[in-house]
This record gives sequence, C-alpha cells and structure tokens, in this order.
Amino acid sequence: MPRGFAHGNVFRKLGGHQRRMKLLKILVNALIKNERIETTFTKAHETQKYIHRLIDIAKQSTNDAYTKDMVGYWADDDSNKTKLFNVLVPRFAEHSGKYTRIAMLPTWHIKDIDDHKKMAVLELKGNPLPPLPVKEDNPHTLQNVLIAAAKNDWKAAKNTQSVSESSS
Amino acid sequence: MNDYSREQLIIFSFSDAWVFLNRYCCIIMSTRILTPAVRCLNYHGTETVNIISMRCRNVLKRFSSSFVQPKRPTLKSDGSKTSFVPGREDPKLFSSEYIPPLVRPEWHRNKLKYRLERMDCLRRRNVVNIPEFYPGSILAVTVYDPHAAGQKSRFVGRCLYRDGFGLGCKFLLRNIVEGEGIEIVYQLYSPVMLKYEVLRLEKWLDTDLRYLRDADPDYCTISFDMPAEAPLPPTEELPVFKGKVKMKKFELWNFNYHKAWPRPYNAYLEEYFVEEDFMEQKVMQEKRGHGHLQYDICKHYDTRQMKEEITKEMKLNQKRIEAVDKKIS
Repeated sequence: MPRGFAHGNVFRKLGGHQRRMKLLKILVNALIKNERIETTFTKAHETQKYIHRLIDIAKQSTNDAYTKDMVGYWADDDSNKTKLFNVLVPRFAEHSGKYTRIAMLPTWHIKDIDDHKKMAVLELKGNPLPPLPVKEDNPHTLQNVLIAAAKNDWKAAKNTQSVSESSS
Repeated sequence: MNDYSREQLIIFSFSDAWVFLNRYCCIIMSTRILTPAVRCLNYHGTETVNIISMRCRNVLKRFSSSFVQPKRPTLKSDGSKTSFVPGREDPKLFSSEYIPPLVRPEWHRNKLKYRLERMDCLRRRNVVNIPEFYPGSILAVTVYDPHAAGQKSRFVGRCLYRDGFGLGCKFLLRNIVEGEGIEIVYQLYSPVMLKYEVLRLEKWLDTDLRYLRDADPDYCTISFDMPAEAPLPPTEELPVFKGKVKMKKFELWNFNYHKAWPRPYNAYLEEYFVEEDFMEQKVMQEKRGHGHLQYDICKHYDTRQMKEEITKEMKLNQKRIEAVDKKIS
C-alpha cells in the first residue's frame, strides 16, 4: 500500500476539487449506511482518510459549530447522522486510529474493454457482515506474542505513572 | 438666525431677561416656537441657558428640562475577576507562533525541533517583553539601526498579518506616511527588535488583512505621535471587531480578495460587483476558488487540543530555564 506521494502531496486529484468532494461525500455516506462498499482502490484509499477524520470529529462530542457544520455536510441523511453518533462512536470509543480495512479484489479483466480496474472492498471494522478473507497477522506466533506482552507492559507502566502523577 | 454667543448674552441686562422669562418662559423651553424676542436668549438652540444670575437660575430650574448628569464611567475591571480570560493568557506560555506548522506526511514532523524552538522563544521573551497583539492592532516598534541617530529607529503601523512558527515568526506593519504607503515585515524574535508597544489592541475576525491595501486609506494612516491607549486588563474579554471596511473600486484591486479562503469577513467585497458580474464571479469562485476547502476535513488543521499541551510544556520550560540560570550564576 502506498504510504505517501512525492513533494508531500497526500491526496489524489480525482477529477477536480468540486467533483472530488461530491464523490467522497457519496462514498462516505454509502460506507456509513452499508458498512462495506466495493469501489476502485484509489477511491477507497481516499474515503479511508475522510471517514477516519469524520469519526475522530464525532468522537470529540462537543457541540461546536465546527462539528455541526462538518457532520451536517458529510453525514447527509438524518439516519446516517444518528448511526454515526449512536452506533459508530461507541463502537470505536477505545479504538484509536484506523477504523477501516481495505481488501483488494482480483483485477477486472474484460476482453473487449481495455479496463483493468483495480477494485477493492472498503469496510468498517467490527461490522456484522461475514468476515473478509483478509490475511490478518497471526497472533500466536512467538514474535507477535512477545510484542503484545510488551505493549501491555508499556500501557500498564503508563497508567501507573499517570496515577502517581495525579495523586502527587 | 441670530446666533448670539455667550459673551453677548451677558451684555443684556438681567432685568430684561426677567421680563422675557416671565412672558415667554413656557415658550423658551420648546425650541419649536421661537419668537425673535426670545431667540436672543436661546443659546445656540439648546434648551437650557447659561445665565449667571441666581434669580434667573431659580426661575429656570422650575421650567428646565430634566437634565440628568451622566454617570461617571467606571473602570472596566472591578477586581472581582482574578483569572485570565481563556483567550488571553500570558503570551509567554501560549502564543500563536507556538503552534507547529502543518507538515504532511506525518512522519516529516520533527517534534524535538518544535520543542527546542519553543524553549528558545521563551528565552527571548524573558529578555524582551513581547506583548499580545492580533492582526488589526496598532503597534509601535523600535528597531536597532546602526546608521540612524541614537542607533534606533521607530515605526508605527497596523499589523496586517502574523505568520510563521517559533523563532521565524513575522508580522507586517503598514502605515501611510506623507501619502506613501509603507509596509515593513519584522521578525518577532530577532535580536534587532528592541521594544514593542501596543498602541491600540484590536482583534478582527479575519487574520489576514492584506485587503486593507486596496481599502479606505483611513484604516492604515496612523500618526507617529499616536499615544498608547489604556491597556485592557487580561481578565476582560477582548471585543472582536466585526465591522466591514469599504474597499476601493474593483478595477483598482491588486488581488482577487473575494476568491481567497477563508473568505474575508471584515470587508465589503461582493457589494462591488454589478449583478451580471456577480453571478459570473460566483460561478468562477465555485470552479476555481477555494470554497471546497470549507468542508475538506482532512485538510483542516485542528489545533484545539494543542493549547493545553503547549502551556504545560512552556511552564516546565520556564522552570528549566530558571534552574539552568541558577547553575550558571
């Protein structure tokens, strides 16, 4: 998966600013409604960024003019808005960071049309649909067990440090 | 109309005035009905008349208009508030140049560099008092100039914008001196800057006021002898200026200010277009302007959570600097 583009650009053009905004709005709303959508890889990658940012904004749960404006623009339907606040925010409350997953589909070869689209599936984590055949890391290998243990130790140390700071 | 001055009024004998008052007292107090005999007593069309004689004064008291002396203006701070207003804390602990710049992708951000630079800013602030000011406020700045008399030079101007991070923070002062518009960009933390005086602290809704170049020149003509206005104590909220500036004709603009984003609030920009041009400009704005940035959440820079961390860090830095200075001395 590409991490970043040259010259610090991180966003694709997707046919112009206005078109891009409208397209991403449609995709974000579809993702919130259906929790799993199939698009081209580039569009899925862009919507990932926007859905992460939108859920971060919704998580902060302030009655700002900013949050109202942004959520009012991006979660178009009322049903989408309620779903965002009542379903997705509690689901991802302790989840920090990436809330979605992309899985690549086999390339679309059609003999007559020279259209080798790279299709992908974008889904929100924790959705009720049957799981995608995505290769997740094996949690039972020795390395992954040690890494998980180290993570827990570090978290515990951080918690005790914060407790001692707050008490003193 | 005969406008008699006060000195001329005194010439009339008070007995005459008494006679006039007795007959026309009810008429004096209404400025609508004015006979020529009474007009001479009417001092510049006001209802009350400054007459020295006590007799006349007593007569007038009965019929004088209900003049209520205005209340003495009270000081803005009554000492009940002791903490700073949230927007106006100590600029040493938090200022707009402490917020790190937005650099994408994320791993290009060097947090150590930002922390060190903020520490250096604090060191400089301990030497020179850099007051809080916003784009729109009027500043006077004394700068070291080896070729000037007394090795100093002073410039007064209105701050149009303030940009940059850390030690590279710059601000632009504009003034119209003898009909010539002069703009100077100063670096806030340069060792050449000797003294800052905020003559008038204003805060405008816009942070980029460069459209004042093509606006009414009154906003940027500031005399070098302007006295400093009374400083607002930091326990009071600073009122934000929400008025609108009148621009020159559209043909004289050097820049398409109406296409900028965020769209300037403090200026009458769209009012200068004829209806047909207005629709055209709107379409162009949507196509080639930056209106899409309003809802582009990924391109927004969310700095709301940074304030607390930065103030914490700067407090620690103050203690560190004190400790190091103690050790050295």
